Amino acid sequence: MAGILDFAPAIVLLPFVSFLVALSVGDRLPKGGAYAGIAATAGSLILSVATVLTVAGGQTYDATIYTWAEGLDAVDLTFGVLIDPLSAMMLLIVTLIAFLVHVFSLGYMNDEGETGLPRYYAGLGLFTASMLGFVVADNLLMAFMFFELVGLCSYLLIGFHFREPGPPSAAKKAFLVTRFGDYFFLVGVVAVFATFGTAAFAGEGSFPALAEAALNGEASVTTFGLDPQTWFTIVGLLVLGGVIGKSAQFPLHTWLPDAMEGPTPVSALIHAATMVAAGVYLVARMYGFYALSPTALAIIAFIGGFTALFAATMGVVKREIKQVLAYSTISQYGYMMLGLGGGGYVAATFHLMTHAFFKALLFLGAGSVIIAMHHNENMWDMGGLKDKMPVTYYTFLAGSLALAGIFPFAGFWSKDEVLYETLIHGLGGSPLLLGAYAMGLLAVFFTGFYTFRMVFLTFHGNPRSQTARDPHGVRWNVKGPLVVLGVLATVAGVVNMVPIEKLFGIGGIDFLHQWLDGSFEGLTAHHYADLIPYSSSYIGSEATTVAVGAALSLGLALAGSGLAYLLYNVPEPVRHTDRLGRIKGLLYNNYYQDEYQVWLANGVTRPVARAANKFDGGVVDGVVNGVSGVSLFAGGRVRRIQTGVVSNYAALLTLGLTALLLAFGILGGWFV
Amino acid sequence: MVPPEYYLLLSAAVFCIGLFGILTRRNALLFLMSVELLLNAANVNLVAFSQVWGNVTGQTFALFTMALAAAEVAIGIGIILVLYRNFDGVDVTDATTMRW
Amino acid sequence: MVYETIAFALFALVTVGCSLGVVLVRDVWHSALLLGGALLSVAVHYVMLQAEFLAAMQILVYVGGVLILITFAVMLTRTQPEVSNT
Repeated sequence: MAGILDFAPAIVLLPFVSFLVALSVGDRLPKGGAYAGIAATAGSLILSVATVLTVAGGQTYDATIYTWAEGLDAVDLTFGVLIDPLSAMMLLIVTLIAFLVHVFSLGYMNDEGETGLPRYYAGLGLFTASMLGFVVADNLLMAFMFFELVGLCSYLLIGFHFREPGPPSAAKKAFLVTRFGDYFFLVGVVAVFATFGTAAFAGEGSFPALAEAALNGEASVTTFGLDPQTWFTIVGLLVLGGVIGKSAQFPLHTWLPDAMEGPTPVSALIHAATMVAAGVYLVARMYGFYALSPTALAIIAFIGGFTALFAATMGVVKREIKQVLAYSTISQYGYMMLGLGGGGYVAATFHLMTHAFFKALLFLGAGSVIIAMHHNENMWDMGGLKDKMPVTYYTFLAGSLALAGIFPFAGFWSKDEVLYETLIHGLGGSPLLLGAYAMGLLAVFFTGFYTFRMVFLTFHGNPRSQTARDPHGVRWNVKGPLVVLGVLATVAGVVNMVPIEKLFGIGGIDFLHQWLDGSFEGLTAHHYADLIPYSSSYIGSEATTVAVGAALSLGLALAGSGLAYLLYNVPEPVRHTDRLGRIKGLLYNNYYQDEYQVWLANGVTRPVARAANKFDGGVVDGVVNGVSGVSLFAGGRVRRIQTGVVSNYAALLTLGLTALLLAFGILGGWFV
Repeated sequence: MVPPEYYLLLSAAVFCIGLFGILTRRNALLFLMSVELLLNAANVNLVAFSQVWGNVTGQTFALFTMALAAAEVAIGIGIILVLYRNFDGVDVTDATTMRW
Repeated sequence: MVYETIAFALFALVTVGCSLGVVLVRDVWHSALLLGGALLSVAVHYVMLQAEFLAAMQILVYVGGVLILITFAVMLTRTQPEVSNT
């Protein structure tokens, strides 16, 4: 298998080729270029599997492919490929989801008679390619470039139905909000270059390694007069700006629910594998850097915990199935951030993986439901679909159980580990982490509730509309991906059964921990565990803590689900949200976040801009105009000596000559 | 031998007469002639000093000036003819369109 | 010595007189003729300054060339009304 990693760039290039093919000749291909995309992502998937197998054999790969700017004061800007267990795992997830989404698109787009398919498949191809490029990036600048490409593709795909009013506006919002975060990211990239002179992720001279050495006093870096610890925190938080924008964390989460305007397979891709995952993946990628800064970690954890709870409460009242899923995505990425900030690197990566499976599954399932409902997304018009579409129902149920965190589905293991890691580190003397943990724990309840509210409203009870009584059938190309993901969402938890290991003392079943240890020196999970500035503490013994944590989260998830069962698993469910009174309005309007941001733009930014404009128009332009006015006036006067009469010129010439002679004479002392 | 001061006086006198002509007359042809007077005044000066110093440098310069004067007159004639055609006269104060 | 000074004074008078005539007379044609006189007297000064070659050139170039050109110009630009006026 030696040398298979040399084909790693092909994983990125194949979807890019499909993008080019779909763009150039897509309208002459059958199915609008879908097969090109499917073939390309299948090829990438096979290569990714080979890559994972090779990495499992203990190999890693880090090579510079192309240096596109060199000799710039010892800073070389390069494109490189870094394959370690983390990126190999992510490659597998992204290519798998992308492949399944392509197949699903056959059912969702082609069979539904959408137009503009070459554009759609070109977008999917570029989206996949840029995400894969981001995953394998071996330095921060390359990561940033592909990060931006991912943002561009999301813009193109969310605004796919550009003739309707909603999607273009949603696409613009997604683009601008994430761009706002990326602005900080760009500053962060420059800061990293300025500080370390390199942006490489791995190796001896990588910037996390340099930062670590600088903190230990073994290396010196440019910190612009600040204490290294402070400066690294600032840089980390700058990069975190991009992460918050892309991973839809509070307060930059507002674009994600609107992004539901895009086609459902695109939503699946955005939420499970590409766009939103990019932010969390970036933190995991440079975790060695974040682990050096307790402040940055605490902020990450707190933002994560808060977002998890905040988004979960909003998901409770939504009417559209995709809106519920959108808020659940924000909430779940909050968990990942919580895990990363709480020192649970492996836990967060694990949750990234399981979430990719079950969220893709839920979105594709929702897509299947939407096909069946003739593109009506309102859950109050559904009901009773359980018997009409059993494949969708059971896979969707598996995904929902995973999302709610019910034992033994995938989500249980990962969410539990995230919460567990946060708990033990919080008990070890970090009240902020304990607060974040509490919010995460509370969010579990809401997650269980909104998930099963969605399931019961959609699939149980009596049909509440004509279309729900006679749904549109779906074909193999919809059911196939659902089944694959349904199986994965059910069993993916076995790769990391830490609670079982800790409780029963069975060693060696924390496969993901072992997997993420087989990396470059300095990029291993163990190294990160040594770096994080937390100490652990337990309630009683370690096993007790595991049991208490798991029991708490499972109990809350079951309580939430049970409440949903009581309220909504009836033949004719009523809108219990009305009982919430004014809170319903608050939740339904997303805590007025959009209004708040619009107010921020209208009430603060616009007056500031207007004042700046006035200053520009009044003072700056005034000075410029004044200078030009003086020049014009003086010129108008001076030009009058240019009469056009030759005699006057001759007279002036003579006068000038005489004056010159006089001057020479006086200065030269001729008349003395 | 006549002292060079005399020649200087002569030269200065002719130069002033030429300048006077340029400043007072409005006829373009008079301009041309006055310029000839100026050049000749300068030439006289050059040749006088050439004799004082006993070399031919001044004379050589004077030769160049002559060539220059000839060329200048040729061009000047052309300009005056165009002036005459466009403005129906050779009064330099008529031609005031080349300003601003 | 004295003769030379007398000759110089004589021709200087001619030169200055002709020059004054050039700029003062009303008729351009007369001006041109007086210019010829001035140029010729300058040639005499050259001879007195022992610059015979330059004197020859003065007569050839100025009187034979420049003056002829000016004469042409005077004739070409002479307008009828002006003639009747003077």
